[in-house]
Amino acid sequence: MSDWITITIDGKEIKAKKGELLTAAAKRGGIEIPVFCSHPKLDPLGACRMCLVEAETRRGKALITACTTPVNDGAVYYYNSERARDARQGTLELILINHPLDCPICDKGGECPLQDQTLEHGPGHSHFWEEKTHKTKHYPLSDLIMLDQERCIVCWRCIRYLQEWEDKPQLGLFHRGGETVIDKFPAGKFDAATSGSVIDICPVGALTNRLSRFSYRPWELDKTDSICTHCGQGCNLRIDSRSHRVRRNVARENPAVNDEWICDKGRFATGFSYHPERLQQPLARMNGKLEPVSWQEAIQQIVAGLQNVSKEHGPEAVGALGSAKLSNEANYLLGKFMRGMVGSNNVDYREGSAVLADPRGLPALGDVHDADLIVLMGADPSEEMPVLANFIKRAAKRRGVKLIIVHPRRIELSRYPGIHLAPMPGQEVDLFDALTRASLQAGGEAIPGWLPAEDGAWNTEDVRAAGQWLAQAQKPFIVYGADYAWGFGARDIVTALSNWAVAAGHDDRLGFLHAQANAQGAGDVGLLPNQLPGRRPLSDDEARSAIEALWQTRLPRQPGLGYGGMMAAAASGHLKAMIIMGADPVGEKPSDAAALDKLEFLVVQDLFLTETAIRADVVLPAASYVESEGSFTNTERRLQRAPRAVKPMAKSVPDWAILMHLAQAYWGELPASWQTLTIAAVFAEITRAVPQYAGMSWENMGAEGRQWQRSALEVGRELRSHDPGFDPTDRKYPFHLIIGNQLWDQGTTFAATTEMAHLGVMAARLHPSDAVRLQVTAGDRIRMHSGTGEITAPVVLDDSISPNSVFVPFSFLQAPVGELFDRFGQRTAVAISKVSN
Amino acid sequence: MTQDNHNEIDLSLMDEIFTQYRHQAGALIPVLQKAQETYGYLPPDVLQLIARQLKIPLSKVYGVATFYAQFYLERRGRHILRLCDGTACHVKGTPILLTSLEDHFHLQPGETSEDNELTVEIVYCLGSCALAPVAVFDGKVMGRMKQNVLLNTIKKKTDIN
Amino acid sequence: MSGLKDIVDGTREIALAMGVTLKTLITEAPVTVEYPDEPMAIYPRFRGRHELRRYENGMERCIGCCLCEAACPTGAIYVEAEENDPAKPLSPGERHARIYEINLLRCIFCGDCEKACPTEAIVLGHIIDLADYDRHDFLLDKQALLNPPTPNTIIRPDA
Repeated sequence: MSDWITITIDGKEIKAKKGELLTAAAKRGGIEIPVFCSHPKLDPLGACRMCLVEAETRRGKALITACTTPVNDGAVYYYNSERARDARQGTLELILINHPLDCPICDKGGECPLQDQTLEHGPGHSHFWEEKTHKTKHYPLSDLIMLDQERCIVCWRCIRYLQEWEDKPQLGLFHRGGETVIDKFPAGKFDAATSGSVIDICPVGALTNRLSRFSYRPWELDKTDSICTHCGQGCNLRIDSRSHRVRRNVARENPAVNDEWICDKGRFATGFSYHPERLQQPLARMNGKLEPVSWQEAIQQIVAGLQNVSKEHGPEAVGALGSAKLSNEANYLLGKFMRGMVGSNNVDYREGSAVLADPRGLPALGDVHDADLIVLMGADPSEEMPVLANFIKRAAKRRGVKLIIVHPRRIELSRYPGIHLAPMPGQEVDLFDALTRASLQAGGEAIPGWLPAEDGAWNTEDVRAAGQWLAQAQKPFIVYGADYAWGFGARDIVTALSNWAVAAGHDDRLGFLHAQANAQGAGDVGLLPNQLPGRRPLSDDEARSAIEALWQTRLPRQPGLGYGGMMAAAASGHLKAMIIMGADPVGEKPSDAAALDKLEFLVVQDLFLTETAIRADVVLPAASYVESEGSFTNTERRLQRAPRAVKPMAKSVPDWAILMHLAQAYWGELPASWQTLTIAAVFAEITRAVPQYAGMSWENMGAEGRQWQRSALEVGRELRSHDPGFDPTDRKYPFHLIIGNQLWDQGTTFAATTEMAHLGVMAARLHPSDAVRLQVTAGDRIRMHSGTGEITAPVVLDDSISPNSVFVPFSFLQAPVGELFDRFGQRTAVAISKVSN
Repeated sequence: MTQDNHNEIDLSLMDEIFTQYRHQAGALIPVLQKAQETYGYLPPDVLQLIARQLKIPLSKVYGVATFYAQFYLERRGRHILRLCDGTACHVKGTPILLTSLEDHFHLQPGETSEDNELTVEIVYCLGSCALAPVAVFDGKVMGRMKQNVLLNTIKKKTDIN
Repeated sequence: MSGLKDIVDGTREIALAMGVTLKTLITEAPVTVEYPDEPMAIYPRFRGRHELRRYENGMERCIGCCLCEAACPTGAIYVEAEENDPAKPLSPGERHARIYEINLLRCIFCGDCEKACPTEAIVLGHIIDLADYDRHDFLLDKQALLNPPTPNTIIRPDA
């Protein structure tokens, strides 16, 4: 207990932690010292003077700022003395001299610390009757954030947030005295990916949410603790709604996941849930056209359609796609329906069997906070997981942690000290082999004979240093992303990068970064063609009989088709019917439309009438995640609840409930093994089907979620040989195609937030030197074609792109990059030509 | 004091300043002062260059530049006229002088003429109340200022139309 | 004997009382108001049907702050605010009410909305004949509130 000391506030003895700030110590003792500039997640500053208290010093009593004072043993403070109260009252009066009294129209009004503290500590009058200083009131800092300079009380919180967490100091305080304003540099940018956090921490209504502006008063909101499903981090947030419409999202604290921050996508992209183009009712194809029908009719048609196909062509002619954006429950019930009732193992999702992810995802997001080296391979957290990117920035900036980045582009995080290695697609394995060799050498270990000779192109100083760093690191944070885990050659890349981790002695720290909200969970609950729930292979007889006993049915033994296999089988006529839940294969690759058109029967359940849905025989309106309940498993295996925040739009129904109805109609009645009528009951069944989830329940997931033990699943890693790399380019197709995720893209849910649709710069990116060679300038359109397809897109010049390569983002409606994938998959090469106008 | 009438700013003039202060920590204010000596004011491009070179956030550089009254962010004229509008000068007729400047040159306090010849500024008390109203033209104090004297001085010493 | 005295006393008392009636009948006007044929006298501070007021220049006073809604003890008011179009503002400042509804079936005419209003936009007027045939007609929308049949310009001094 040596860390605990005793201090005295107003004669009351309080136990405090040694070195903690007086504000925090007082809070523990039940005294809430008012603050504006101080924030638990930001460095102390002492700018606002609201926290003045009296302290006993050697020179008598003195006023000090409690928010910057670390407590000492035996120190004596007076919070409630007349002088301290006067000082705080005077501070408030000073702050209020120029603060406008427009609380009735201020979005902060009702949850405003300045209002609350004025009520509690304010003088109740002012010595000033003069006109207040006028500044800019209606100042859009960006498309997302509105600034009111008059309301600002100069607390520096926003400025410090952008400096300390985002490391993008775009805001500053300019001018002096009563004329001080917060602003950005004239014509400067305000574009941090988590810029919305400044809204949450602003103690007044100076920075407000521009999209939800004036659409709520804080006291009338229904508040639902939930999570974000835009990426695999699973940040905790609170959904505030009113009259069953989402009004805004605010961050919720969860130190293990997102600390107290969410990114702008999670905060602002709420429009999809009340988009007017949402599907309102079931549609069925009649005389070639999709017509509105009742739910009963739609379900009957589905049952008839599926049973016909199953009877005529066998159950393996039916396939189903789930989605990594949907809950565990929905994906679990889809798998259960397909396997247990239809009798087909053809189940998958886009990020499913095709992606060679570590089945245990990431060891833990929190590891980044005490890592001594950060290794990112084929992952770009700034675009894929902005909050994690902020943690990495903080580690690099505050603790001097070095970054090793293996990525074909110079991603934002490569501005921090470390090593950036940029292998072109196809060359990754050669680089990882060189790194493996370097790490083995650093550790003084034997070099296996199959490792290629040392004289390759990667025999560089940087590679040797990177190999040495990893071998010497104690607690490295090592992740690889989806870019390196799927498509042609992915098996070799994953083997090679695992080899590196093994060679450095850190194979237990190697993790996978899932870009989608529930890519981990959908696999855990068994939506994979070759695995049973619990990530157990289909051939595992023990697991099979356990699941058969739970579902009271016989399971098919033949491994099913994956996502790509199903598309191919549909094109070749072997697959006759499909259920597609929350996926849009045609939107991603328009040429897959022909395959789906060949199906005899297609069911789509989605929020919108997607390119896939317009080809369906029956379209079911699904409720969005804010309208339905569900649990999600994030990339660090943490299960978290997303409860229902608003009621489903029109006649839409949650995905899991649709599957319950479908099962009932398919079987004639709901069998005993399907009597899971609430989300808690479905989840309870999942915990029995998935051994890793054992012991969890809907209730005990709690507000911060529960992580399943990494040790519950063994993944044996050892040094393994693999096929060599390749070079897809040749004289005909000289440019490497680089693909990747962009935060502001045109994915279904994000594009449906119409206010933000213009934020993303959707374009192909070229290095300026290539642009000169191709005689294109920014804004021109270019045509890219590979052996199999072509797309056209406007071009942006970007020197973070390596020469001889072109970057095309995913979820780019105009230019579906999937069209270009050929025998090298996405690691292909393209030829580029300018499109003449 | 070198000044160019083009909108293009020769940023290479900053090289020497950076060389001088390269190894000196906390040199922001001297660099800003030298830059202002060079250009007459602090153009946005120069501020951006300073931020990049000194590895200080642009928002901080701009904050310092706006904080101190000695830094000017807008182009100033070749000649600078300061008029005192402290109590004594005000009573003795500075407002009349200001009106005549407005009438003849369409210049308000704080403004610079379009041809960049003259900037008019107001100050509050130069400590020479006995000489009220006081004008300072290019650093030279002129007391007991009258309309015609002021206008003649400006016309004689500047090329203003 | 007492029976005769009772009769005489009784007759006298009745005559006296009827005298008062007769006197009042002749000297005083009737107090019954023939409502609805005749108008009711309404006291200045009477709280009847609500109305939303405007400024002299035609701008709406309501800024959509929802304080009336918060003050309403019966939840009779529903407000949705919106940002003003700078080219065509409906109210001074940045904010106006897009939806303003009062459910008269819930309202108890307590006047708390009036007290809460920072711009004296919502006031309770003098219209008292609020009977209607359809439940839906008791939901006053913004247009109905802005254009009352008989505008009331009295601002209660204690409001």
